[in-house]
Amino acid sequence: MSDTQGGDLDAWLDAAMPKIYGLAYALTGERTAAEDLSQEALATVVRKWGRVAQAQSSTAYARQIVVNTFLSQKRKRWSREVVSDDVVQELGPVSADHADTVVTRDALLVALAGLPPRQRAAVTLRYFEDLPDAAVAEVMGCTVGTVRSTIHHALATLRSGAVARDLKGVSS
Amino acid sequence: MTTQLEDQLRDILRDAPEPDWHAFRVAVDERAGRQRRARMLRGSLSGLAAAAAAAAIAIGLASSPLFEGQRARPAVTGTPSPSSSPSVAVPDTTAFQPKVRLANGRYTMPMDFPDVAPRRTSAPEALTRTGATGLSAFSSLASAPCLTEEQAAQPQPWGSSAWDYDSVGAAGAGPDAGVELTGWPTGTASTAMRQQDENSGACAFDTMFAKVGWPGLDVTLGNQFVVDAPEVTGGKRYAAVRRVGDVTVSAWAVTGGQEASLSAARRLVDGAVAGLLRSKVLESPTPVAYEWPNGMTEASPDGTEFILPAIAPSPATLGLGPFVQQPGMMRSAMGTVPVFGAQVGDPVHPGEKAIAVREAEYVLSGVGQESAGVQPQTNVVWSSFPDGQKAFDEIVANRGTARWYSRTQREPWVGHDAATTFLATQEDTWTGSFAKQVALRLEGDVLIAVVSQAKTQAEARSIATRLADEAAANLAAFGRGPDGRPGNGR
Repeated sequence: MSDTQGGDLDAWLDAAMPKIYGLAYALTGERTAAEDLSQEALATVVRKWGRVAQAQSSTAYARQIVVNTFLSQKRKRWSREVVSDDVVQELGPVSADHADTVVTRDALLVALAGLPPRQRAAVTLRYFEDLPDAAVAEVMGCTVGTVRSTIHHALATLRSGAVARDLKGVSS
Repeated sequence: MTTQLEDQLRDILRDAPEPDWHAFRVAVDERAGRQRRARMLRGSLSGLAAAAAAAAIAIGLASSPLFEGQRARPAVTGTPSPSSSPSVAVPDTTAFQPKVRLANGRYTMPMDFPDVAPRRTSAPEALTRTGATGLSAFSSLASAPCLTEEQAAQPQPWGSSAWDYDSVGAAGAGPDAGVELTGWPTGTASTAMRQQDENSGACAFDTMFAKVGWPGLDVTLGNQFVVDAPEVTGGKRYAAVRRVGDVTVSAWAVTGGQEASLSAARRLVDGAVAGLLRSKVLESPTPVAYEWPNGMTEASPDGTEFILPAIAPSPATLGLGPFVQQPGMMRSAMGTVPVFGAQVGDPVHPGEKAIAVREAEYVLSGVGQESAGVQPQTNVVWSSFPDGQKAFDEIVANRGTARWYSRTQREPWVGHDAATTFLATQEDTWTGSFAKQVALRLEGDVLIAVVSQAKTQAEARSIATRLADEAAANLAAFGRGPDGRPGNGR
């Protein structure tokens, strides 16, 4: 690799690390998982820098890896593996102090953690990345209509779930 | 207009705790280095899969076609003598608790495997035990690496433990034998054994192999294989496997010729099976906590639906001089850029996307080859599409998910069908220093794409066409799985 390319890579990494880590955190809500996801995706781009940089947006490539990996892991967790009591306890609401219709941050966090993975990914890509629905559809491999309905259902779930938790202080 | 909820969502999603960015960058570099050193991260935990897969990528296939769809031919030399112990009754299933993934990223595994790999006098005379890999979430079956993606074939193992052996007096060039115990969900190991017999399950050989069978045992109880392994002396790995309930006990050996190696493998298997039965751990398996070892992670850009065979041509067989193959991806999520090195991924345009991808990278090294510190690079990417012809037509018409990176000029490819092959030059606007050539070959639903760089167009063309033809020949030699796709298929 030439110095010029190495310099390009350093500059790209400086800019991409916060974006990709932030995306991973928005998807997982867990710092360790976010670092794991983002570092692996960025390492893949670093290793293939010469070709990835000319083939497509390196940041988009890293984003795609993060989302694919997240959905793959989540799919296993949701469809095949048994959720233990530990999970339920860890996902329980931290606070239920505000018994009004204003959704609290803690309640929203809990509701967010309970979203199915594709809903979480769609919400993240729209509200964290600010991607248009067409781009979200491309990243997730579905139609724009599916993206919109997925986000619609996610927002409804978040709204009702978070409010319910605020009102009742219960976990699902 | 946004709602309060949407605003709250943005705030929450963008509120990641700040990591130590210096440590973060160091970790990225370390992971990149690790990826370069060992492409098959998953298999490296078991030892067996990594060696087979990495070597298959790094060196390419041996030439003899042994696999022909479901009718893999028995090896031609030697007939294994019956084992002394397979008549011992084994349980049909094992009552495992399910594998559980906890919210903190750790697991509860159905059990940990006892150390039952033969030692000293119970091991073959020429072998001494050297190392062990504790409980791992990744597995292989009789030297065949196993997929763990949800969309891949089922059943899939939940974990394994492995032990290595060296030949007595060997100079440490890597293990010469190994034992692996692999656990399966209750009631599924029998299916896994049957699938492996036809190379159609989650654990599949990606190099040529020959089925030997285990005399006296049904394929759901025992089997033996001879597997191409260019990384070992003699180029073959000899593997044996038996099933005990929902645990498979595999061993491999390269301690001599076929007869001696399979005999050693069988003895290792029999010893481990006997130890496993004596331990009685399968009568009441106890779940155990599992945590990823340092530096290991399940995050990996896979997403493949089945294991494509390793068809990367060997640089040596092409006689291309200082043409060095780099470790490539075992599997990848790069299905949106099938002609890697000559296309730009375009998220606006949907098109055919690959369901399994493999890649090999080559560098033309040597005096006078580099330009401005850059060595000319060649990529071979082979992708399996749901509809290969549709994908090929999209690429040629430049209307697929990915588009040409720069001006691409098609040229005739003598002796090749224009409906399924494509040869073109492309401006090298990235380095500006090399001639660049694209060669595509569609083989069924598998597209082989070669993008080469060299000092001259003639040299780039020669590299691209020879690699494409050689890869196609390797694919044809590998044969087809039960569903007609190369390798194990789905």
